[in-house]
Amino acid sequence: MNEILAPLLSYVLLYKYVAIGLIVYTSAMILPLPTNAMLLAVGAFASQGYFNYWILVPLAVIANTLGDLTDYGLARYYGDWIVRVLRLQKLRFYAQLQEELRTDATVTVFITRFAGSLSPIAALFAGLVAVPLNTFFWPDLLGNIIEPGAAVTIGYAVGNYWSDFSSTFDLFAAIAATGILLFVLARIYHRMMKHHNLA
Amino acid sequence: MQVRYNGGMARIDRIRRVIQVAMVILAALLFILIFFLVRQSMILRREQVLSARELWISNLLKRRGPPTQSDVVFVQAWMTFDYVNQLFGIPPDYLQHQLSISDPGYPHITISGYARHYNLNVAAFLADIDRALVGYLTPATSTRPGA
Repeated sequence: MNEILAPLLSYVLLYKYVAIGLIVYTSAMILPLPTNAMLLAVGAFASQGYFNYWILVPLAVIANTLGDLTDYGLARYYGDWIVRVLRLQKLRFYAQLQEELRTDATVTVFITRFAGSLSPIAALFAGLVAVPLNTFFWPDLLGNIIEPGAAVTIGYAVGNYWSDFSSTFDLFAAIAATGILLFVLARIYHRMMKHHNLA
Repeated sequence: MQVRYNGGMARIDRIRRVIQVAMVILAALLFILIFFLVRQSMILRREQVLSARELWISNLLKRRGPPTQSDVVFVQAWMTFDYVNQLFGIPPDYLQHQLSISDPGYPHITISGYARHYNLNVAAFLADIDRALVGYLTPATSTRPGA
């Protein structure tokens, strides 16, 4: 088993809902923890009666959303300073990315919820380019209902065999992350070509 | 003016090339990941994990019965005694007596944590737990309290 996952699961069994909330929150914020595998396991524990499924799902959704909102809020508050310090405003690619996020914020925020480690980066970028809070919050919440909800439910369904499915779930997340990156780059490329042809 | 325009165009061309290369790399990565996903699902099918899961789900839908001896393989070192007790539906003091555990933290302590604290070999201690559980779950062996 994953070197990080085993101690995480021990903490989950020892401190229950508090540990789950903290792990999901910190992972949503920035730490690359194997949250999906952990939620699969927690779903399996729920099927054995050790946790309550109806508490787990809202807890995972709220913790995930709060983590994303923290990233978004920090980036939004310190965004100008970060852009100035890193001199991002001079990068053409940053300008394209900014345009991409502002134009299709709803779709971009929603689909990046399924991209594992890319998710906090997207939340930070959304704050950095000042995507309006409403435009960020609702697709973020919807994505967060689907993703952790799916992990807990699959764990609940597969029970003791959850560990056999955790690598499959990770592969799905990696495919989603790669596909989303490809999609965003393709859109930026398409937009550049359109500007170029107009010029 | 023309030089600046050409410079700008050259920079855009360079960015476009970088994006093209990144897209090709990502497409290749996507292909490899999908290949691994298909391979993983074939492994799960070959090792009959999928059919075992289907059996689990049907058992769950039929209100899963009590755990059996074969379920002992699921016990891992990162689990707490409290979880193992609940998983196998055994009385909280059963493992405590069988394994002579006197730690005040029991049952809210992990198996590996306990073994490390008392300088026990984790694998050997896990095997002891498995034996105690099999003893409890075997109908012929009347180790159950009141059995």
